Amino acid sequence: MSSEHTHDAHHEGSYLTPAGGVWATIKQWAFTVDHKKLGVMYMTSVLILFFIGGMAALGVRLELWEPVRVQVTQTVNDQGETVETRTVTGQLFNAGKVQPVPVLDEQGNPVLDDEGNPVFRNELVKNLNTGNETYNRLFTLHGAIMVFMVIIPSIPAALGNFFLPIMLGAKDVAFPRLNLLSWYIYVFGSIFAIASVLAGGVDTGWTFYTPYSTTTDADHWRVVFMILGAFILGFSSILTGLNFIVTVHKLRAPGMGWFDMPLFVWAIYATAIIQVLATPVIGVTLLLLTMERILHIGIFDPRLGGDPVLFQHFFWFYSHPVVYVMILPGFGILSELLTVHSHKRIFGYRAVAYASMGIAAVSFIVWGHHMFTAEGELAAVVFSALTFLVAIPTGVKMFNWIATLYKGSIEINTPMFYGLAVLFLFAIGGLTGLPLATLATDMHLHDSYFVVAHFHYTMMGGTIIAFVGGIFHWWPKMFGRMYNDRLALTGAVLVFIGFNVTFFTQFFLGTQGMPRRYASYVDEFQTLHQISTVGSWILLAGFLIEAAALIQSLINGPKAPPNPWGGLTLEWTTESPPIEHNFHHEPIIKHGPYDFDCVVPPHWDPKDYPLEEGAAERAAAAH
Amino acid sequence: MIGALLANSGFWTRVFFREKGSATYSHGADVMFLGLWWFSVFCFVGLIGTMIYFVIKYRRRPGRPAMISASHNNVMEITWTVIPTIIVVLIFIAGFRAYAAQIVAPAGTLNLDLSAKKWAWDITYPNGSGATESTKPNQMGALEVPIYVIPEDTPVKLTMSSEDVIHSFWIPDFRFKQDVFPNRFTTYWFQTEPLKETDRDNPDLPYPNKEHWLFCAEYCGDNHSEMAAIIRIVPQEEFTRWMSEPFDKGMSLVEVGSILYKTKGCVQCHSVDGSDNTGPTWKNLFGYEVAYSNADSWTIDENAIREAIYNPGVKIRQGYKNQMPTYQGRINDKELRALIAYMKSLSDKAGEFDASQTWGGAGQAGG
Ligand code: HEM
Ligand SMILES: [Cu+2]
Ligand SMILES: [Cu+2]
Repeated sequence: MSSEHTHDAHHEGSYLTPAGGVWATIKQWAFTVDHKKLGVMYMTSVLILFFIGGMAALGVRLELWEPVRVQVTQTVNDQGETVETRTVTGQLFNAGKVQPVPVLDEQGNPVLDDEGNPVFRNELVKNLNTGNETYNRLFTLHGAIMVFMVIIPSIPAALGNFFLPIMLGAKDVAFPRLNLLSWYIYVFGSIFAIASVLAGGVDTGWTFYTPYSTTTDADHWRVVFMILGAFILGFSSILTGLNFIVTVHKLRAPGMGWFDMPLFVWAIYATAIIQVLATPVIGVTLLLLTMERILHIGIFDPRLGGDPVLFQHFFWFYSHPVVYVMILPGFGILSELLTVHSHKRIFGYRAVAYASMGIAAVSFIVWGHHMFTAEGELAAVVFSALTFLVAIPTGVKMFNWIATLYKGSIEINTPMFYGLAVLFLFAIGGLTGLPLATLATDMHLHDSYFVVAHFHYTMMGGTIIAFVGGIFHWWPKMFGRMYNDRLALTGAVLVFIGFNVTFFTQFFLGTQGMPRRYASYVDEFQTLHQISTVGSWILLAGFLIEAAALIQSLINGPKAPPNPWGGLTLEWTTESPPIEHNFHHEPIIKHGPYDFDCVVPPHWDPKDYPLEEGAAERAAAAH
Repeated sequence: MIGALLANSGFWTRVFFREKGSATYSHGADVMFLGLWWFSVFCFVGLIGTMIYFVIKYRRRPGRPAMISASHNNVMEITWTVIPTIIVVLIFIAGFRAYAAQIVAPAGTLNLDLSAKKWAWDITYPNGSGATESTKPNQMGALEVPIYVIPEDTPVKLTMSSEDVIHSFWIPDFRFKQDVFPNRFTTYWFQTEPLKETDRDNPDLPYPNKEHWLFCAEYCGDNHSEMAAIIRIVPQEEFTRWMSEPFDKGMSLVEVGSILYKTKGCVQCHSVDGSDNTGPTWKNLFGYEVAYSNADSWTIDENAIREAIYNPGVKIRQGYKNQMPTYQGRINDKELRALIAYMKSLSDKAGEFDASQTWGGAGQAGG
């Protein structure tokens, strides 16, 4: 971009226009500071990690098809003694463990060396414990990838990066180079964490509870790698969050007041604030954890005079707010999906925006509800009371979204189906939060499959489903091509069914007494576990169809118009895909993001969109 | 008929819990849960029913744009903020009251000590004994776990601590759990309902009328899912009899040792068939020379076993990690003798060894 001429060429072309040869194009992407390219890069990496984490989850579900059992057989040997052998059954995956084993001679006596010491040989030992350990590594891998590498960056870093500046009418985020740095940190952190898996795996669970996490595999670096991976990923979150906060404050287009911002922007903004405030806490906590493991400083490990519950406080002080880092962006997408595909003004715009901020604020004072069985009784009572506060703004949002549909013009296409699915699933996720927040019932449900089901309904049903819905909503804008809606809708329906089959059963498993993170179980639970596993295959089929629909669209999808759904926010005014600098001219805001009752959506023929008498005047007056 | 089924709380108790809760305080939690269930069903049907109704009624039709309706409505929005607020306050209060019943133990409880370790629960009774029976393999995971007898209709209080990491003591049939820590004591109390007359007389009536699963609910490593036990509710008389003579005096020491091997959790890490595990196998251990990573090799005798059980960290066997918790204070002298007898019975180098020695005849009275 040295001369005026090349600058103009960029200005006109789509951001996807390759720079030239393959090498030049790779360089163009690898060193890009364009928020759109970075959004696409984030989206690709998140989807790859989602695939890896999903494979681990399928493994977990497969392992639970059968409980772990042992078969005892008795045989008589040459000496006439009965020998009992035990064969473990029901363990599908058993990575084993290399361990020095004494070398035995034919009589079964240890072979001795010259000094009379037994001789050892390294052997891959497989037994009940190593099989269970393999299972534990699998669910740790799944949890850590999904939480730290998929859900947290998914919506903000991928779709937020791409659309937040466009929705504000800006050319880019406030600090484009910082944005590129965030992506590299994210990739670096992920590689760091995944390296620990290639080196054999980590079995701490994504929660890293002490003193287990400070003592397990004590002579290995894997755990430290995983922890440092999460630590590094935190920096990526913080930098992205900072970037977004400044962008929202400074780069809104002329005429765009705070309450003219799309709700997606509000949600990303609230999320960014939590990220910037809470992530340093987990950063410090993870550092302390690393020091405890390596230097034994004695802060979490009781053998060194530390307090393991302190770790839980630190951990949840971050990780509870983080569940809202995960869900608020999902809420933001939901607001866009429901309004655009029903051409309806959001009901109670301000209430929805304030509820986002309210949830963000309350989320900092409820962490103790993850520790009802660990903390003192007084703390449990206080945290239970505070937790119920979260339910209120959450409920308010639900009411507002449903009221939005009233008298709309609702189109059931793939993105809208995902939007409605989020309402359905999040209603279940939120309502099952009630018995978890209630002291008497959480004493039973805590750390059971009920909690597993609850957070999948909120995090997967809320966030991931909204993310996928957002991808289908903005796909034509991002890549300039439509997809086969019939095919995508079929996949979406399978995802919805598969999700419910997989996770609704787990509520019953939990209430009936199935603890979480168990590789085995009593016979009574087998039917429910098998239903859940079958559900995971339906889910897989659904996602594969979605992937096929998107790949097909990239290959030969019809060209997308600038505004396929009739949205009013700024991204729909520019081309699909957007040009390098987003807009030909800096946009000026003349109407609100949801003024469907008085504005014809850009690029739509007013004939197709009959507005009532006096609509234009109302628009002018409203603004 | 469907209406009757829906209203039948026994039906829903079975769906969610299989059986009604077995401790005196479980009822409070169950009522609370089922109340929340119906409240949630009501909210869900209201919300999602409305959503589906709108989606069908206002589906897109060519030439019909969205209609205009109020963009907000203060009265409505304040109502749907205030009513849920009142409801959650009520839920909190009800949950708090049922919780108080769960945590406040009455006076005059039967006090038991519980020690948790990877991956076994170890309860010590006032008579110094632990469990004297174990399950068959395969009831829960792969391994045998202890069966603890508890008198019916008696308030029982466990004082719990852990020897290594955090565990959580959960008896689903009682609807209550409490974490167990390595650096402080926590307590868990319960009182079961009296046994039904029919159950009392039936000697082999299993779970769940008389027997309750105890699970570990806090992830604690490899065999977390094997960390179970059974709580068996017995009539008062039977408990009194058991307390005076936990193991039958006529049982052989070897047999008692083989039971302790399972009830004390040795089975979690040591095999008796020669296969390798977290710890070395007991097959052909006694009388054999073994190598240590931090000491000279040694031929296993009674004192070597004693030290390995009471001070496991002092000598670490070659190829293994310093993972075993100490059993100091948790295995008494007489139990130690039984375990040694059992190990001798597993070895072909045990030397002179009287396999018929009885529990009653061994050493001084102990456990
Ligand atoms: C009305 C709203 C909600 C309430 C009242 C609520 C309540 C709770 C409570 C009390 C727990 C602790 C349960 C236990 O461990 O015993 C919990 C666990 C959890 N919740 Fe929620 N929740 C709500 C919404 C959400 C949302 C929106 C998310 C995320 C998007 C979420 C994610 C989680 C996660 C990840 C856990 C478990 C973490 C773990 O132990 O691994 N919840 N919830
Ligand atoms: Cu939380
Ligand atoms: Cu455990």
